[in-house]
Amino acid sequence: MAEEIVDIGDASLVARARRGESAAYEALVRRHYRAAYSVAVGVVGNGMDAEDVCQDAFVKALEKLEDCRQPEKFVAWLLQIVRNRARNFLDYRRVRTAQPIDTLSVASTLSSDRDAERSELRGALEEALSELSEVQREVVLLHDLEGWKHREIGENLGISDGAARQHLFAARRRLRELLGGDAVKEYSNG
Amino acid sequence: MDDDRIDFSALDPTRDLDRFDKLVGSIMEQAAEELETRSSSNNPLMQLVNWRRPMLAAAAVIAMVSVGVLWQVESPEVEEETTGIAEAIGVPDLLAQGIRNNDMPTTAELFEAFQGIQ
Repeated sequence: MAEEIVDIGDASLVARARRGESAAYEALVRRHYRAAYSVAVGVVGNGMDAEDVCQDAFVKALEKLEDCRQPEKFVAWLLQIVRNRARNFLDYRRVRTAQPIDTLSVASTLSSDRDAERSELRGALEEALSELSEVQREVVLLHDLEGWKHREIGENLGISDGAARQHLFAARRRLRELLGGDAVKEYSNG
Repeated sequence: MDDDRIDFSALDPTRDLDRFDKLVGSIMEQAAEELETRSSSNNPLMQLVNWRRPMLAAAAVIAMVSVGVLWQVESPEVEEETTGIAEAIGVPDLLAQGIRNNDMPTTAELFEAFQGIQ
């Protein structure tokens, strides 16, 4: 059912989710999960905690869906919730209702060398990201992982396009210093 | 395409589709209760049920206020109206009082009253 509503705009999906339509909310979750995750990683600094934050934030967003006054800008509103929840997470180091991701029977256990390699690179990326400022992490992840434009990033973070561009440039340069060009390239080819 | 892009695919939560489905499933599981509440409150019958209690409370308050107001307003008006009608049709005061008190006038009183009119 989620596949049938993949082309529907956010505003309609929000309206349907407000009426309790599960498929509509699931479509919103799938559509914006990666952006939410990018912001969460930007704040908490690692993927595992970011997944917990995302889970918590999406549930909270549903509860507060009436507060989303511009449903067509749902993602901007959602990312603000993610940011707040991530900061709370840092404050309390735990998320109240989130089910820890490591309790899921996810096929994330290292079942092959390929997985081990990916996990190693993931750790290296997280470590390198932790050397950046919060805004640099958000900018580089929203741009390079989620594929947002400078203008969209600027609007969302409340900074100019030029500032977004500068943060992106500085973040990439620092990450290359920390990771080495080869590490990123090797993975890309693999 | 931007050539300087850093490859974050190792961090991409949607890269492993099975895992991503489980992440989404976990969120939807936690959201199920809220969605159910929203869905049922959207049902017209449930809306009626939800409104029943406040509507009854409001009706009770209105009824109490109305009874109080009617009780206070009605009594003096009736008396004034009775007096007014009696005066309007030219019934002497003595007779009007007798009617209000449900007392039958004596013949002498009637005679006296009609004499007063003439």
